[in-house]
Amino acid sequence: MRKRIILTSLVVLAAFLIYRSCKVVPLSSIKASFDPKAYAQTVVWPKLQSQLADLKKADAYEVLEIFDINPEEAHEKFAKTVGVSNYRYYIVEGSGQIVSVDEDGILVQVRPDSERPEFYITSRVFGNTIVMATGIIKMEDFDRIMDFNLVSTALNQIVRDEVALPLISSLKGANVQGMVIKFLGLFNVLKDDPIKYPINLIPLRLELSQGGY
Amino acid sequence: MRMLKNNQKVDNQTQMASPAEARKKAFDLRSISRYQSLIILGGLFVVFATLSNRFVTPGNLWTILRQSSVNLCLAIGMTYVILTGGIDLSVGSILGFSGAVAAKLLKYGLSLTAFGVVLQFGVMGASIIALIVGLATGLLNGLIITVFSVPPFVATLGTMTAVRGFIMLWTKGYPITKLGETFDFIGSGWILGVPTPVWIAGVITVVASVFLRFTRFGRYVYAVGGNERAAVLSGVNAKRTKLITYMISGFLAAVAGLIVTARLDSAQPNAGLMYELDAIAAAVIGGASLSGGKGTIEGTIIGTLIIGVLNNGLVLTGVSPFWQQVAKGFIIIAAVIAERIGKGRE
Amino acid sequence: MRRLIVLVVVAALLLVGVTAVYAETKGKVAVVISTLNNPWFVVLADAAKQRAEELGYEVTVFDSQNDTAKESAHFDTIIAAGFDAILFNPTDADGSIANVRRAKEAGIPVFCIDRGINARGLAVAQIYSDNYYGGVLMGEYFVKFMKEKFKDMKTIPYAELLGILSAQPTWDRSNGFHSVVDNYKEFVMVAQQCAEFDRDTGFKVTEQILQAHPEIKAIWCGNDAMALGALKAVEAAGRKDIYIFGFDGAEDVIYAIQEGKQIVATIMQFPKLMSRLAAEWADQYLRGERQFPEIVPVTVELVTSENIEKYAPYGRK
Repeated sequence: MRKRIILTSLVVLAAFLIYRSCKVVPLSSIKASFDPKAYAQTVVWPKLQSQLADLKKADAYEVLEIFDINPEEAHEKFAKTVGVSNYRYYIVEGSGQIVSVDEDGILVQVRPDSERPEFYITSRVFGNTIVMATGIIKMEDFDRIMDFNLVSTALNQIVRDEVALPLISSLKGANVQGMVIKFLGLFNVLKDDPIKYPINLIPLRLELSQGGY
Repeated sequence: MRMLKNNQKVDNQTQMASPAEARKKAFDLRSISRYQSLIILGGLFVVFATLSNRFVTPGNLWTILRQSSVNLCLAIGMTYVILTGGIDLSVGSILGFSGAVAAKLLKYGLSLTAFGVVLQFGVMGASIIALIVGLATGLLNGLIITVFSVPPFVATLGTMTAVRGFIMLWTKGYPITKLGETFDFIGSGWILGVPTPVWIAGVITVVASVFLRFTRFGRYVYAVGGNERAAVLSGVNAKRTKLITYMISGFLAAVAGLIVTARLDSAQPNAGLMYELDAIAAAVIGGASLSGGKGTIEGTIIGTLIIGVLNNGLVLTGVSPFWQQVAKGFIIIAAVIAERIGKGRE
Repeated sequence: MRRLIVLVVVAALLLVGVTAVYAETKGKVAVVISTLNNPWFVVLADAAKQRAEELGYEVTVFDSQNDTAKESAHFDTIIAAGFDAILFNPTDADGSIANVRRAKEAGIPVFCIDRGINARGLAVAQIYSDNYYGGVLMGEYFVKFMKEKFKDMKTIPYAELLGILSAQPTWDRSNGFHSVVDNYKEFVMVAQQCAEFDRDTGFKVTEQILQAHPEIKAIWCGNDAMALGALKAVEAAGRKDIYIFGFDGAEDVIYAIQEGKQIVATIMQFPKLMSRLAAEWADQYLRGERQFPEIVPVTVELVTSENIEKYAPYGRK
């Protein structure tokens, strides 16, 4: 009998304590967590756009010329290194003739006397090249390394949707021979590797210009 | 060193000449054997204190005690179960599951989407529910063993696997972290200069020891373990006794789960993995017999401390992690052999 | 006689212990590694140990066995034993934060190697392997390679083996990979299973996947150990038409690529580089330097049969 009383009072006590320690909260008031896509769209991309003029960029023609002679020299003069890495990041500006257009990108020749087109302006952007080269966001800014990566991916998608694809679709079916395109873009290469052409160029700004050289 | 000490004892035993001498020797040995584990603990202590000048610092000693608190909770529950001739392999999984339950309730609450609300819990509520979960799993173990007569090894092996699976379902394989300072206090706090887990384990030890020694239930536990048929014939409800021991084991595993989760500030999906082995080792080194009926809480305390000192000392003296495993295994075997030899002379 | 032996043994032990305590060192460095069960991490640990010892420190290696609780216990011991610095490979980006915080409060600098923690301002520096970019590189090569090999196929089914679910690299690599591959409609992931970064588990899981989905043409594995297990399973089943992609740059996979087996690519991480850097920075810190970049990404590189001559196990030639 005594045991029953003790047990029941324990149960009642437990139930009471739980009740006291419990809150009912409507689902709607639960805060939403960090949204990388929204952050990239509303904060990072506009910031990058406004800073395009201030970015430390090199002239595409000049870089390509030095690549032919001694890539190492170009890496030292123009490229950026992030962390411990064999990759070298370039921001280049320049213009070139459009050689061809396909659904994924535009093949461009910068130097009239080169053997083949040097750049492929691509709409398929992957990896952290944009954020590494421009430094628009840094890993230290985010508590979670994963968030950094997700914002970077979102930026890739924005570049694809807002910079690359619109121009590509406008050139579809048109006669592109002789058209000149002005670009501001990024690429990365491995330090010790021989340069492989065409270099995949991630566009930050594209503009068709009339007339030739 | 351990083996040498044991050999010494064996040496003494073989030198028995006359029956009078033999009786005298046997008496000496029995009193030594009762303090067998204590001597081993003391020996290890001396060895490590000599080999490392950091061993006997207050910080390190509290570390040993704090780290042993978790195993002590498990080992005490295990002692109750082993005393009745059973075994509980599921304590590691219960530890993990109750920790995960507390963590999820604390951090995310219970989503009742049908009502459009979330039930949020404070530390008290989440902890109590976690303890209830432990108790309930223990009850499940007990029922499977007593009602369906499944051997304890098999039954708890089953629950161990199933509960580990529940943890995976509950956490979806991810750890649940950042649980708040109030909760973390359970694992990382200090009260009056003593770490919280040590207080918790201390209180549990005292209650468990008193319970075993001075209540009728305690006597039933020994009776059922010693000779179940005889106990039943004298009117002891063996099934109920065993059932309660499994519930105690589950409950204490949940306590351990709360301590671990609070200390790490995270509930890991693999929390508690293999912890049952250390708990069993602690109980057995402390003198509990796996066939039931023999063992004490005091012995289990010594056994837990031996393992705690070993874990700490081997790391402190810079023994390679690979050798640590080897050393620990051998010392456990040596300690038990010493126990056997000592007991064998009674 | 026995007593004499005991005395001699005790004296010898004491002598050893005493000399160990009085050995001349600049300080004690702890190397805490998530697991020593994987050769890649053994390399990480050994490189850190070697460099720290070269710099004059006494090094102790701790194995967390992929268990945050064990890792926490190690930290307790390290703090109580008064180590001077910790070179740390966290088991869990969130769960390990509490440990680093405690070390910081005890005044011990922590340098994270290979994996990071999701907190800023606690570790002195995080030398972090850019797993996400590795996944991206692998994804790009995967698309290129598979499209070429199977250019007539309209859909190319593949399977993915994930690593330990609670480890950050698992998701970084997988997300990086998918951020590329999911953009190409031809590729369909028909199976995704967890193989715990373990070779054995990789073997077993692959066997099961081959039974359930015999149509797969490729298996993307989150690390080389699983890739090797998958390779064994694929070879055992006699499937010459399945290609395997790994991650880590481990010894056996480098050899497999060299020998032209069905593992076609892996991502080279640089464990030795990261460990050495961490050891050197710890040394600089203990000599007074305080300026360190908080996060240092170590970029990884793609290794395929085309550029295999540049690479050796765990690094460049």
